[in-house]
Amino acid sequence: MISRFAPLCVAATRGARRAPRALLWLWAGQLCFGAAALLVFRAALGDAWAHRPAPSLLDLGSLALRESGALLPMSIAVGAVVLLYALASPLLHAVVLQRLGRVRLELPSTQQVAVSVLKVTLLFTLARAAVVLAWLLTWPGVLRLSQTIADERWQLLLLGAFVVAGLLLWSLLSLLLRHTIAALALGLAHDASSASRLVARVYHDASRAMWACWALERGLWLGTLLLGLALHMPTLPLTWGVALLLEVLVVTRLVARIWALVATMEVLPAPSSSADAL
Amino acid sequence: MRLSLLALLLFATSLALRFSAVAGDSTAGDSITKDWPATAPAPRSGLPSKAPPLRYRIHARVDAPAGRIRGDVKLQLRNTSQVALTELRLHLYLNAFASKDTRFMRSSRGAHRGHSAGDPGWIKIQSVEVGEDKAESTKLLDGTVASVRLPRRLDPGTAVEVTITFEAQLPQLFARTGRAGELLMGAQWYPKLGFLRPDGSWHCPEFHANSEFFAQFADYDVTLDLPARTIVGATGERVATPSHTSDTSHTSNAWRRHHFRARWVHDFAFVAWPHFKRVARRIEGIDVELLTVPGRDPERQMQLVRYGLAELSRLLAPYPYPRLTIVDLPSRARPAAAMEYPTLFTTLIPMWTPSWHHAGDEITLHELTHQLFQGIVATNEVEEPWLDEGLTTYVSGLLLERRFGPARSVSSLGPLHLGQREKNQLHMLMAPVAPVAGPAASFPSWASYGANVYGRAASLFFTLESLMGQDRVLRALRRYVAKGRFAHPQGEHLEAELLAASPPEVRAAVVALLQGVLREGSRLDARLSCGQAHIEVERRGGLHLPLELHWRDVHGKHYQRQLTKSIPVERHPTPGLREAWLGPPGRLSLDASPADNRCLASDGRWAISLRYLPLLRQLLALVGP
Ligand SMILES: [Zn+2]
Repeated sequence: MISRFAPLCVAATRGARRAPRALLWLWAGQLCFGAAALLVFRAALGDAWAHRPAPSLLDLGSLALRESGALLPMSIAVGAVVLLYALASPLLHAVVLQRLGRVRLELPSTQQVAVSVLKVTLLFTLARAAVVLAWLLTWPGVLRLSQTIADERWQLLLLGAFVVAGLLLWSLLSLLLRHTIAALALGLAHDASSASRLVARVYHDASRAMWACWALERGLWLGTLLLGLALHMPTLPLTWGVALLLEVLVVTRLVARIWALVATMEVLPAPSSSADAL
Repeated sequence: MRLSLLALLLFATSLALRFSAVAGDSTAGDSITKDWPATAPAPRSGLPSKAPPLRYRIHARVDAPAGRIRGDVKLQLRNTSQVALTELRLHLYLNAFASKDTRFMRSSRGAHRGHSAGDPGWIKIQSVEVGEDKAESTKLLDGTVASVRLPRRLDPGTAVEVTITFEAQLPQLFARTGRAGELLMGAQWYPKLGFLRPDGSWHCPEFHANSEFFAQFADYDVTLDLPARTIVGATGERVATPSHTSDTSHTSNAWRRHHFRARWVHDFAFVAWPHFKRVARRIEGIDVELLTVPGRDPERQMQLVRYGLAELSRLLAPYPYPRLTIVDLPSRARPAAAMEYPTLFTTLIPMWTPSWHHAGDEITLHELTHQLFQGIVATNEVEEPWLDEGLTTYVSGLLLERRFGPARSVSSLGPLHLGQREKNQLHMLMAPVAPVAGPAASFPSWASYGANVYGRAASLFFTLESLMGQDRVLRALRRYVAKGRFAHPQGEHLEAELLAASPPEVRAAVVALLQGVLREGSRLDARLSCGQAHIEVERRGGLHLPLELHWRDVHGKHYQRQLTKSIPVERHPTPGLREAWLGPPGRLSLDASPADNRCLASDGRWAISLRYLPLLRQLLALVGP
């Protein structure tokens, strides 16, 4: 067991030495993107932002009801931001990881990486959209099916399993996307098909570190949510303190992510060329 | 238990007397007191001592789970009107579900509360006898009303016995009644007499999708034969433990007879399901029976009912019947859930509903409150639905606020919390404004009916609180309930009590508010905008209420100004402005745009927006890699 983890730890330490700078880049990049998104949301939500320190559900609900004519342009604006983020964020990851991967040989140019990453991202975005669509289309059927079950425990179990399965599938797609990007950015693969073969190998050879970090990252996210629920989050106004806490959470998750990517990629033998790597 | 109830009663009465003395001083004159309908003399806590003018004896065999009912109704009625009667009118509610062409199905477009209609239901009258004579019955209109021609005139004050045999088929569970798997909800399932007005006319309209029910008080004596395995709950009290029937057409093992009696109720409903778990408690001197789904926590329901009965008794009037049945339905029976019947109501709190989410708690307390307004005050839900639903939504809202906190009485999931007042305001905004006091059928859709009769009516009472004070509103309601119990009062009676309880300085505003909201469908829409050194108050809509303008400057100092004039746009210079808001709390419960009743000076907005950045980033991260 230890022998399997040891190379991982060595690799992670090596990666971590370069990680802080990469982390800073990733964080700053995401921050800029978040700020841009905020501007768009502010413009889209209009009054709700301008009138109150913290818009209540009543404010948001009543605005949505009153401005129902403005709902379509607003949804388009929000949808565009979300889509743009879904496409831009993997690129950001790729650029930052490329800086980590300078040890590699024959590193493809940033432009080449960007094109490959964008292709892969588009593919995954479509896959995720399909998952959401399939989930939404199946949900009414599952709900109806659950209501034919007399025992509420089984009812709840069925619905719970369906929700968890959807979330899990979504989360796994993120994981797969992240590692494919890493393989491309670190120069371990040159295109999507070679990356997918490499990622399959990553899953086989280095699954422990990857799963551990994935669990850590998702755990942080879920833990915050559950803690909030357990504490009933009494009023919880969005003060600077709470905002800071959320930001710390963002950074912690980025650390876990970088560590996982570097560690899982580092254990693979350095290729003399990308073809050898596969 | 009884003694403490009595002490409570005495306390409440003395309180009411003290309040009425205060009101007496401020009442302008007799012009606002209305003639109350003649009510049967009843103590504040119990049932009227004399018998109601109507008595139902029903025997029915209920073929569960097929939903076929065969039975007979023996109706003893006294002509309480001032003229001789030549016909009777009966409701045949189940015929609303017989075809797509009925008024109900047309007005509901085949769906009710989000559930679609399934297999049809119907009811047929097979024979009618008036005394010893055979009589003819004719189906009228869309088949949900029948007329029975009396062989002899029924003079005022005289009585007659009418025997009706009928056969009915419950629909697949829809619009409160029917069958879902092994469960049967028997609601509006028998030929039910229309409401006899004092002038001898019948109030017995076709069944409309928006409308609930209205009937005279009666004593019921009902025997139901049901398959032996079934667990049954019904209006009234169980007379004896279920016994095997002596019916020869079925083996005695398979059928069981259930016998119920209820005094002074205006409807009879039953529910049957083999899997119910029965929990019984004695609360406030009342036998409370809960029929619930195995695995659900009965304590959540019992504690709510215990709290609700005590609080309603303290605020308004005690529950007068000896027994109350709560039916916590399985989720597949949702189309029948959240409905009130005399001494029985249906609710639904699914298993593992988190303790911070109160949608189910709200159903239970709402239906429990109906026991007062729909059950014993019994207003006309067809012509004046706001009296029942509006008051029930307001009072159950108060109960929920007191139990779970004002801002968190709907749900309290962190920043996503919602209170009853906000919920009603949101509900109100879901459809265009209509006069709240209109009949159920006057609302163009179910959404409009809900928004105005529930949301806007409840918001009206919260606005009244801000003008008169909550204690005065409750005093008016207490008097309305005390005078109106078992008497079918009308809107004017409630309005008279509200005016009598309001202090002279706000009475003009109360009159304008009631007139505007109940009959004219007026809108209230105040808007505030903050400049660098001024505030602009804009008033749209026809409803103008006195408001307070509050603001704080950059040093945190608070200022206040009364806005009593009905000026469309006012501009107030406010040097060093930071934020401003309109008040007092509750005064803008009817406002059409709640988000703009507050504003921030523009330079303060950026700092606030920035705080949202980490939250936004957390949410965006969901779509990232
Ligand atoms: Zn109701």
